[in-house]
Amino acid sequence: MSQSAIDQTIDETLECSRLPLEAVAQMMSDLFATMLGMHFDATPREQYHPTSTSIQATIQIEGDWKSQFRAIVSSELAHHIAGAMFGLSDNEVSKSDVFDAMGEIINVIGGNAKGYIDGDCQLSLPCVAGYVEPTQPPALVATFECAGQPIMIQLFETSN
Amino acid sequence: MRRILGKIMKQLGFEIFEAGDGQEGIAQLEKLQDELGLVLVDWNMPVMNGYEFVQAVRSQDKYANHKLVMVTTETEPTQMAKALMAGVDEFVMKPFTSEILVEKLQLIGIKMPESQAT
Repeated sequence: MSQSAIDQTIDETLECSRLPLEAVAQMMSDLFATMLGMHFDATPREQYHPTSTSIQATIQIEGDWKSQFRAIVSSELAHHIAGAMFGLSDNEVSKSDVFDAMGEIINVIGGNAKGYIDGDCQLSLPCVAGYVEPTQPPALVATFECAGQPIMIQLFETSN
Repeated sequence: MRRILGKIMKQLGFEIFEAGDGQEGIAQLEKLQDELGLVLVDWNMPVMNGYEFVQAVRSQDKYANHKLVMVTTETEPTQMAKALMAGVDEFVMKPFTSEILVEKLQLIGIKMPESQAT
């Protein structure tokens, strides 16, 4: 599939039969609003278009459900998240704080998602880096709003 | 996760020691065993994961009275049962709040430092 065709699949909210979008929204709301005390709007909104400065956190699920979750946010939102998580002001947040915080975010999202799937699955360790365009169409895409900024979730299934 | 837990535990008035993975955790326990009464351990850690850490700790009698709390997203009953069998005292499911953490600690008999006692 061409990159433009993959990009097109990411332009609209896409639901996955194995993981309801409502479940993703709820787990993210629990994470951001309840745990971190950040404003979170669980209504899917217009899709976020990441840039070269966006931050991407990735985690793999291995076992009976081989999949990969990605959370993509602007660098600014990543700083807000790290600040909320570690009790720091945005200008105190270091790159290492951002990486730790985004790694924990995707760990919680992947771990909670795993709970919706029957079978034996294990989480990888999270990986945080700059945004990389996907090389396959996602099974689920949605953008929500956190602290007034978009956060995009992508799920890629590598097998059933 | 350890930084979030560290922040909350400090706010609650506990003195904390941190380790980046299970092996470092074992080393900390060896060094500080008389000062530590509670270990909060994430399941998903590099080098030695939380389950392996619990197995290693519970294999030594000298840590029999240490409370072990697993902080995890794990909801698979067989995995949780495995961790309980290995010697976990309680689970805290992510995402959690400081109130939930306090409730879980009180459930296993951990007293809050005086300034935070409820």
